[in-house]
Amino acid sequence: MNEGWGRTSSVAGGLAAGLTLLLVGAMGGRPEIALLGVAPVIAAAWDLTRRTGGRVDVTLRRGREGLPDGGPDGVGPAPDIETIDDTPGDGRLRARVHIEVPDGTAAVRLRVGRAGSTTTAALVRVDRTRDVGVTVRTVRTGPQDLVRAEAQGVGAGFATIDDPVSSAPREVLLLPAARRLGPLPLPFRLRGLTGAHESQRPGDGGGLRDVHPFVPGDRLRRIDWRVTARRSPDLSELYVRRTFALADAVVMLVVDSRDDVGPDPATWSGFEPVRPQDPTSLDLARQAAASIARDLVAVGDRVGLDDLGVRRRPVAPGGGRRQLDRIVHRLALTHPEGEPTVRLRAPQLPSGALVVVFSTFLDDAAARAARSWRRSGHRVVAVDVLPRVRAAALNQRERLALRLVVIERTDRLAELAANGVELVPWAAGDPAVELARLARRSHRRPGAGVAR
Amino acid sequence: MTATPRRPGVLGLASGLRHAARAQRIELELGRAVPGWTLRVGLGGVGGLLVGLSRAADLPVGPTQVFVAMALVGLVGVLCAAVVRPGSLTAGALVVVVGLFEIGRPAGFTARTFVLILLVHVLLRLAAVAAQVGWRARLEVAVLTAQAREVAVVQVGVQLLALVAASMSLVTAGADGGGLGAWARVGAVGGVLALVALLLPRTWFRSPHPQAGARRPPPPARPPDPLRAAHRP
Repeated sequence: MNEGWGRTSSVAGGLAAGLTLLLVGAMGGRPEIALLGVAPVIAAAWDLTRRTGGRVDVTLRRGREGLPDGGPDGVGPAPDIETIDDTPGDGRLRARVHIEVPDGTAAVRLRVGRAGSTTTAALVRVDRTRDVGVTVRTVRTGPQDLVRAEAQGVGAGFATIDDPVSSAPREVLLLPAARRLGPLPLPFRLRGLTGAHESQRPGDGGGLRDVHPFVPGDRLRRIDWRVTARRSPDLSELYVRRTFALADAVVMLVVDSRDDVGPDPATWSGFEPVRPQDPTSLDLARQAAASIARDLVAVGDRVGLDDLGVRRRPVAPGGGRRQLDRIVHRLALTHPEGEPTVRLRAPQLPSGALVVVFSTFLDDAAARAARSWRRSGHRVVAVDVLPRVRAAALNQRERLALRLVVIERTDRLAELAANGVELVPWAAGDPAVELARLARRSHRRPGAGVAR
Repeated sequence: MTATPRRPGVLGLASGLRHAARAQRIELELGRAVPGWTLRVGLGGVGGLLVGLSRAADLPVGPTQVFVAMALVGLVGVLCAAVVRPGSLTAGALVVVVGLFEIGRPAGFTARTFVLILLVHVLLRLAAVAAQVGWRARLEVAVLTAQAREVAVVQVGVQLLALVAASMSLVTAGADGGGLGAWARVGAVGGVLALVALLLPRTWFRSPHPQAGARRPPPPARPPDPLRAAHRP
C-alpha cells in the first residue's frame, strides 16, 4: 500500500465485530452465531487484500475553451478569461474538476468550495479519470478565484482512504455582462462624415435638408426633376435635393474605481467584507459601462474609457468589436488600487464628447470632475452606481453616520443637477427608462448643436 | 439613495436566506445521485430491522422487565450513535450486541438466521459508506451499486455456507441431540484465534485510522497576489 492510504475505522470495526461473533459462536458451540461474523470477516479480508497503489490527482479546468491567452492590446497580461452568462445577480461560472485515480479506487470524496460560498461535497465513482462539471453562481465580476477542489480517494470496500489532495489555485477574470438598454443620449456635438446619427452638416446619407437651385459643383444625379418641372417648366433653372450628412458620436466612459462598496453601510469602512451574494458598486459600474459601450459600439459610435481612480493611459475612443472587447476587458480589470491619488484637475477628454461618469458620489472628487467637464461644454451624464442601501441591521450610531453621508451625497447630486449634469440612478430605478428620457431630450431637435 | 424594501418577519428572513443560498450555490454535475441523509436513513432502517429481529425484541416480560427495557434502550442508543457517527465503531458494537442476544435463543438455524447474516453485512457496509458521506453531501448511485455487487458476491458464499451448516446441524441433531462436540469447539476456537492472529496485527496496529471529517493540518498559505493585494473594502 502506498504512502497516504490508511485504513478506515469502519473496516476495523467490522473486522473486530466479525471476529468477536466468530469467537463467541465457536466457544458456545453455536454455528448460527459464528456465521453472523463470517461475512464481515471475509469482506474485510478481501477488501484489505485489494490494495490501491498510486495517488489521486485533481486539477481544475476552465469550462470555456478557445479564448486567447493574453488580453487585448494595451491591456497587459490577463489571467484566464471567463464571461458570466447572464446579468449580475444570476451569473454562472463554469469549471471542470479533472480527477485521476489509481486502480482499485472505489470512490472519491470530492469537496468543491469557493471564498464566500458554501462547500459542496459528493461521493463520486471514478473509473481511472473523470471530469466533474462545476457551476458556480456569482454576482461578482473582475479577477477572482475559480473554485478550490479537494479529492480523497476511497479504496475497495471503503477499507482504505487516501490523504486529501487539493487542486492548484486558479484565477479567472469574469467579464461584466451587458444589459440591454434602449436609446442612449448623444453628445451636443457630433463628429465625422459617417455614422449612425444625422448631423446638421450638408452631405450624403441623411434626410432631406432643402431643395436648392443647381450650382456648379452639384452632382447631376441630385437633380430633382419633379421639382424642376414644377418650378421651371421651361428648364431655365435646375433644382437639386440637398441632404444632411451623417455623423458619429464620441463617448467617454469614466469609471470611478476608488470605491467598491456593497449595500451594507457597515462594510463601507473596509474592515468587514461585503457579503458574497451582494454586488458591489464596482460590479454595477462595470455592468453599466459595459452595457452602454455595447449599445454605442453597435450603432457605430466611438467609445473610450478612462479611470478616475488611477493614473493610467485611457482607452482612446474607437469603434468596432475589438474596441468593445478592449473596453470590457479593461472594465473587468478595474479595481481599487491602493490609496487613491488626488487629481488637481479632471482628466482631459476629446472635445465634444459625451461624458458618462460612473461613481457612487460618496465624495466630491467625481462630482468635481463632472462639473469641470460640464463647464468645458461636454454633455455629462452621471450614473449613480451606489447599490440599494440595506440599513435595517445598522445600530444607532451607524444610522446617524449613514444619515450624514446621505445628506452630503444628496446635496452633491443636487449641485450636479444644478450645474447641468444629468443624473441616472443605476441601482435604484430603471436605468433604461432614464437613459431613454435623456435620449429623447437630445433627439427632439435633430442636429441641434451639431458642428458645422 | 433608497433603502431596499424588505418583507417583514419570518417571510422576509426566509426570502433573504433563500436568496443568499441561491447566490452562493456551487452545483456539481454528477450522475444519478442521492443526498447523504438518505443513506443515514437507510442505515437506521437496516439497524432497526436488525434490532427488531434480534433476541432483544422478544425477551420475556416479568421481573426482568427493567433490564429488558434498559437493554432495548441501549441497543437503540447504539443504533442512533451508529447513524450519527457511522465512522466510529458503534456499528460493529451493535452487531456484537445483537449476536450476544442470540445466545439466549435456542440453538438451530431458522429463516431468521439467514436474514440476520445478510443484515449484519449490509449494516456494516452501509456504515462504512455513510462514514465518508456527510448529511448534506451527494452520493452517486453508481457507488452504491458497486458496493451492493461486492456484498452480493460475499453473501452468496456465506449463505451457501450457512445452508451447509444448517444441513449438518440437522444431521447432527438427528444423530446425537444437537450442538457441537467438545473437540469441534476447541478446533473452532483455535481456528478463530489463528484468524485473529493472522488478520488483526496486520490491519489494526500499524497506523492510525484517518477518520472522516477529522481535523487536518491547515493548507499552506498562498503567496500574496499583487493584483489583489491592494485595498479592497
